[in-house]
Amino acid sequence: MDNSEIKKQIKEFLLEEFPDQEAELTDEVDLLDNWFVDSVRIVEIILFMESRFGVYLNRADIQGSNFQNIDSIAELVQKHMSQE
Amino acid sequence: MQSLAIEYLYHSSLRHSEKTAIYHDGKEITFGELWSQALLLADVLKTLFGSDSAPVAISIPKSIHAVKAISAVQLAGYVFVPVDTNVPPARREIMLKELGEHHLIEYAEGGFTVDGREIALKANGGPEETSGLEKSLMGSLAGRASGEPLYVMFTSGTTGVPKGVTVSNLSVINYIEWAADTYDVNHEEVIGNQSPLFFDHFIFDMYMTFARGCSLHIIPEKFYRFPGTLVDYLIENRVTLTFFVPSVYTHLVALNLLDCSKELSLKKLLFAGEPMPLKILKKLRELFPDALLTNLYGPTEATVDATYWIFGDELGGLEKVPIGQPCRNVKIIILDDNGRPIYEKDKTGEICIGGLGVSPGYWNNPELTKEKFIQNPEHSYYRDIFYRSGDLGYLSSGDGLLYLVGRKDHQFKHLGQRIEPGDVENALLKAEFVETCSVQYDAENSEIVAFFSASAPVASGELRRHLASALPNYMIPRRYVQLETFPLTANKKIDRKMLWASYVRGLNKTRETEKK
Repeated sequence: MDNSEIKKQIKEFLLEEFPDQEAELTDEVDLLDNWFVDSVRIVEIILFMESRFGVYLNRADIQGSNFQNIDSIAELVQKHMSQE
Repeated sequence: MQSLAIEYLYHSSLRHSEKTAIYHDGKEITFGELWSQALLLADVLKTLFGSDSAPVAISIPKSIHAVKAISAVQLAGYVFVPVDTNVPPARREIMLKELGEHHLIEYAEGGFTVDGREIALKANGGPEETSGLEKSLMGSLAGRASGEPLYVMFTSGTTGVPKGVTVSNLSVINYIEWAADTYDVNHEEVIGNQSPLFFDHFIFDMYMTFARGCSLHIIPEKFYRFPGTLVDYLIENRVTLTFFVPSVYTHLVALNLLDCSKELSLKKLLFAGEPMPLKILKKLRELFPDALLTNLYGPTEATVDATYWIFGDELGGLEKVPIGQPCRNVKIIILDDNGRPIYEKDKTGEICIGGLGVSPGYWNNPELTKEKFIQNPEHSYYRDIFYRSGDLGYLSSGDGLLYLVGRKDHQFKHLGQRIEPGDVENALLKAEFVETCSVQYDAENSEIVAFFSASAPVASGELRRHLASALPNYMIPRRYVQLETFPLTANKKIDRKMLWASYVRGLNKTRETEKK
């Protein structure tokens, strides 16, 4: 799966889970401000990444910088996919 | 016996002067330093407020400064009121108005402000000055009674106005003594804090630290948003005791972050604030076979916790998670719809709480106090006040323990926070385009759902923006469903059950289509 496909699927998931947000969901928009407002949402996206892409995140992965925007989430997925 | 909760800090400042009391975000403070700095601040407060006995709101995020301010307010002889710093200004105004006359302490750019003005704290003049201040401040407190209020804590109210729960020194001392004995806490304990200042788990974290000379790690909010970093924090700082809401443990388990349980120093896992899922509890037992696991239950009006249960060998056979039995000096009765005590086992009724933890009532609100704090219906020989919790529960004939089954009204818990749907509905109705609305909680997906009708189609982004100026973040609904009309009951009220049933049917339908 290439990077743009991963980004597309993450974007679809976010739009479904967070309908009608103020900001337009681009690859660079800061997700920590408006989207991931609490830990429930972080848990949801992680479980989605695990089930959709078959990647298993470890403790060090689950930190703010990896969830900053769609680009960084996709990068994390890709890093794991190439390892696993 | 001590009268005031602040005496805990005094004794620890003598016994553990050089020991670190609190760690927060790279900073730390010893019991001795905390005590002397609280004395200096208390001295300034006393000079400013004099004999004015108005409560003192503390609007500072959880930190060493916040604990200093809380301690100073008590030392100066006033009641402290922790206020959520993240609430929109409009809501903060409503809360402060509810307090009536009050003072306000904040912290900005390296200094405290009192009622909007910066104050200058003298440099610590050394042990002599400390002991002089100590003598005079402790001397003024000598005549104070244990039953006097210690703090007021706000909780969501049905009409959109948060209500202030008053709690006495005696109730807190009674609770802390019970908890310290029951959980065998001493100065070697390292407590990992989750709770914000304005939620009463913080009362456990702070006073337990003062009472037993523990070390308290005030763990910043950001560690909870990304639970991977939280586990690193607990490992690095050798945290031994955590009092978290169940959703935090649930997230850690869901992401397999506790699989490294052997690297953790955790010996005592306490949880309260919302129901603990049985599946998660059993998983915690697997991960921590030798740790103490305990479920607690109690509304703010009963001083942190009213019942508890420590899980032993019976855990494997449990079908539900009990809230257990009353804590020391607490009495529980269960009332039927007519306010009569239920003595039969397995029969559900409203849980009412009596004993030393019971709050003297809502601050500045005698009507609501009268409604929720009632005379024990078992007798009328003397004043014996019970708090009607609104929680439904029963005493099991199987194991003799209390079990919680739900609410008498529509209040719900989201991430451990207590929320009245009426509070959110009230804020929604203030948007001019909203005609009717109903707020409900989807416990399965942990999300708040708002149903509303309006004269024209409304984007949910617009509603969200409107609510952001009126409510704290955790109270803002995630889903918005616009309806033409609402199903009504025979009495022309919104039929909440019918509304919910059709929403769930809709959800299931969508899910089925997705699967295809």
